[in-house]
Amino acid sequence: METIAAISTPLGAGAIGIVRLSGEQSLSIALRFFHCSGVEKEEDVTPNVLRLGSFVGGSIREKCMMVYFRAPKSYTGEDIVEFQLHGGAYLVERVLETLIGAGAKMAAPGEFTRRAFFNGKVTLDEAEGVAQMINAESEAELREAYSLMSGRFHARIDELISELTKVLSTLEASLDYPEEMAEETDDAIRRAEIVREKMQALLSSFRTGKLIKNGITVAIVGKTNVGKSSLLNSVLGFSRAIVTDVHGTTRDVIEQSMVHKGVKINFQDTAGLRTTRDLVENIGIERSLQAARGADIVLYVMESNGDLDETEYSEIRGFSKRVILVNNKIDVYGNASSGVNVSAKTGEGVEVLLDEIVRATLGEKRAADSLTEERHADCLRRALKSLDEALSSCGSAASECVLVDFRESINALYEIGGGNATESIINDVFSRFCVGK
Amino acid sequence: MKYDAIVVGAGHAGVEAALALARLGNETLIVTLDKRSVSHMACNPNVGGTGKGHLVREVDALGGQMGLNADASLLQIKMLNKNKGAAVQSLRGQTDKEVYHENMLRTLLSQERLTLLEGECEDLLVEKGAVKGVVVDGEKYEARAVVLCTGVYLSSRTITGEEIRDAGPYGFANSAKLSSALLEKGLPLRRFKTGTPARVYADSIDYSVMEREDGDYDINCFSFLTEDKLLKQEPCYLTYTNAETHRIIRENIDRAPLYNGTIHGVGPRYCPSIEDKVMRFADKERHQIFIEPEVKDGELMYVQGMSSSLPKDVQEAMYRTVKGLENVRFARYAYAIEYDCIDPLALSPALEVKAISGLFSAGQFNGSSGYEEAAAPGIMAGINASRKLHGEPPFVLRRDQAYIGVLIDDLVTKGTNEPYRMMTARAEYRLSLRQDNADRRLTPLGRELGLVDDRRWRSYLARNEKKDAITVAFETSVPLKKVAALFREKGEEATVGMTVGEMLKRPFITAKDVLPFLPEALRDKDLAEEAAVDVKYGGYLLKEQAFRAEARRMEERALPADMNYLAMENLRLEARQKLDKIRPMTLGQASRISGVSPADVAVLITYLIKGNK
Repeated sequence: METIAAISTPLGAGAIGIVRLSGEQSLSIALRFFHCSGVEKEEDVTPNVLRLGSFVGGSIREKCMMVYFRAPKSYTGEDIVEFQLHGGAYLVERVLETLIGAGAKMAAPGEFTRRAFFNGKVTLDEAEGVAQMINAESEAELREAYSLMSGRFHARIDELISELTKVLSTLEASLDYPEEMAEETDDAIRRAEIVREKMQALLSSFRTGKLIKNGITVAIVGKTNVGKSSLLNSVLGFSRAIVTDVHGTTRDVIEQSMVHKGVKINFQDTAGLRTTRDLVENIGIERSLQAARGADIVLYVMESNGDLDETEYSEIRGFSKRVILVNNKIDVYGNASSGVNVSAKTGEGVEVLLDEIVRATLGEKRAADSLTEERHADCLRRALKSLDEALSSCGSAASECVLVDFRESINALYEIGGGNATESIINDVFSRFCVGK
Repeated sequence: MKYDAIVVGAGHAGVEAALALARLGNETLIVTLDKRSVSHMACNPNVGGTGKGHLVREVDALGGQMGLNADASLLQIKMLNKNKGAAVQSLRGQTDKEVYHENMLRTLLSQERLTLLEGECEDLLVEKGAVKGVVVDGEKYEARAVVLCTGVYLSSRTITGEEIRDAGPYGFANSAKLSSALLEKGLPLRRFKTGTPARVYADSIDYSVMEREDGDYDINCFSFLTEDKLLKQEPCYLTYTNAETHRIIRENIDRAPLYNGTIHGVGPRYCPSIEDKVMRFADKERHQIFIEPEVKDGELMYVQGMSSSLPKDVQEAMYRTVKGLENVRFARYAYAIEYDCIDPLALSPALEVKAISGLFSAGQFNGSSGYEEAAAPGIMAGINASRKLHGEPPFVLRRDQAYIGVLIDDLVTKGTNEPYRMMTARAEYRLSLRQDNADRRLTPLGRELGLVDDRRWRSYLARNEKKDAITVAFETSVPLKKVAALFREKGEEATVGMTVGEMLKRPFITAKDVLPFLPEALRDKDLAEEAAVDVKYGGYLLKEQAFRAEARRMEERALPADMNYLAMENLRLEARQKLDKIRPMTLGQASRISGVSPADVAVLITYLIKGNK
């Protein structure tokens, strides 16, 4: 049985996040990242004892607890290792990603319980939970916002499947019809390389994955002296940018990241927008606009009693997907009627603003959605890994061997939306090639 | 008249079913319309082919007859995909059709407890949902198990252009009455179509302008019991259609029954008629035509690749455009044939009709096509009918055990919309399911069933003991000097000494190369080649085994036969209906039904747990 891993607590909520491994390799994978005095090798780990140590791997260096349950005395009946981490989506997802990178497989929905079932371990309540969890995926797909995104996603997966099917059907046809296919020349491998490129592109554009991995980039723009740098310092909770009353204090883009409710946010404080003859300041202003162009979201800051510069505001809205209007200095001038009201000085409204940033980029996401997407990403990663293996062994291994990897690749894609690889491959053989007696 | 079991039909499925039943101790009657049609090869004069060769080996490993019978009638034998890996290598043998038929007839007649009856089966006797026997030419024959192997004879009609005849293949009479009796008993029948090319006179062909195709002289035959290699072989010939052939077909396409609506049956895509190939692949300039002998030194040749249902005058015109066939004379014209068969979703994995206890079926009646695809379920239906008679649980082969398992599971779980052909692409555990290890996979099971006699069992044990010894000998270390010398011969370099197994992992090293490093008693090239396969596949076999372990757990969970799927509200409607219709035996089978999602499987798991509490 392959070793599987998953986050077993709801994402983003709660003080503790648990990441769980199950399978023969659980302990050996865990010990590559868990460090604790007195634990050097697998024999040093006493089952059922919680240990404090640190998780070091990938970009993570975190204090955490680890507990090992030895088969068959565990939930799944297999070796299990659990990491108990500080809560927050970012951290637990990094840990999961690290474990998957080390050879664990992302658990399919309900896989822990399914294994528990097969090992005679599970109770009825738990089994019913599995059905619900899997159904959550289709429920989520019913929601409009989600289905738009997932519809596009599935269309691209379907495209990958259909391209890969052509590759496989060519190779399969030449195995099953050696005499007839002798004359058929088809550039299967070149096609497969194109599929790989597309797969890589899709994986790297994976929305949540990317946003959670790289964080949400937020550009703070607006006129001079509206309190952009103060706002940055306020959200960070410490003084990062120099703040003065002098117009044009900030001349370059200042970057600083923070984590809000498990989501990483990269703030970019920029030079205030105004007409000036100062050469350096003009370069800074140009950079502000560039930052606004590249950001996932733009905070357009003004004083809460100020008049909106319609020309400038619509210019920014013209090149940024999402713009939030922020009215600062409500402690002095009171609330404005539209936009988010904050006071950088007192901190009032800052929490609301951060929530709004996350909501505007990630949407009203629930844990199930995120798990669903993480599962899709895992399928895609596995598909890519197998495709890589297939392509790298194409020259040296026999085609029926290479097909093991090609098959694994297409099967991983089929796990996303369901369906049957063999049937489509065989259909494709007969629709594309004139074979048979 | 009373028997333990009755087999209806003596084609490639029927004879295996009847022999298995009789060999397992049952008084068995086999009914055929015409003795001359016993094991008649109605289409191509060969046995095996990609995937099909695996089936023949598996039937043989279980103690079936097809492999032995083919070996006794071989005119040529060939290993397909010889330049590819062992898993996709398949045997194909050209056979003498007359010898094949005569041998099998003799085997039937000399088999203890087996009676051959000539006559037409007209009706089934069914009481309270259980089969009680059959009616042959108005007379009742009683039995508690019946196996239907009616092939393409059920209400069949042959079509050659405008000429339509109510007949079976090759001019044999069809079975006219059984269809309506089966429909009356509620069996879901449907209509399939297949076809065959013309047979032409051997002396009217100019072979000198064709490419000669010879067999392989250094390979084993089909049966694990056949020790001799085939030293005297007959050639086949390759030629091609051309633009003129295609023009004639296109100009007469309105006279093609496939295109003018005369034929309603669903034909196989992998067995397209020449008119189909020309119309569907208009850009192909030529199609291969193989000329194959029907019998040894005989007068008839089979024109593979020219199957058609065009009228006779068009057939003559188009055949004569082919290089080497300019003056060809026809002995029999090509025809299409339509016949009744059952929707295999009505069958259990034991090949028993779910609605009628004791009624089994196999062969083309189940929606498959091909002699091998008939023989394989034939022996399985015979085995399971026997087990039913003796109150034993069904014998079902899993997909990771045999191509037979894949074939039957595909049919009874997914169904089929065209005559089903075996392909290696259908076997997800292809690297493990090889023709060279069919005996290791199945002979012990056949022994347990009682089909493997002492002679086969001893030969199996000896062969595999030696093979195991060779595998152990692969651990032998070879000093650098010797390794380097061998590698140098191959234009490669070696820098360290290594074991024989490590050497074999290199693609350029063959089993034959390492024979000198094995103990003298183990220098058997054929067995060493087979033992080397596992070494050469190495990591890929491990990958496959990882999937198998996972899948097997699903296979081991039985689903109760009396599950009330329609009342399980957590299942989606489509899943409820499909599960109710197919009634899978295991969770694994349920998961392969199209329309049953992972969520539905989870619901079934929930139900199983509930049931156990």
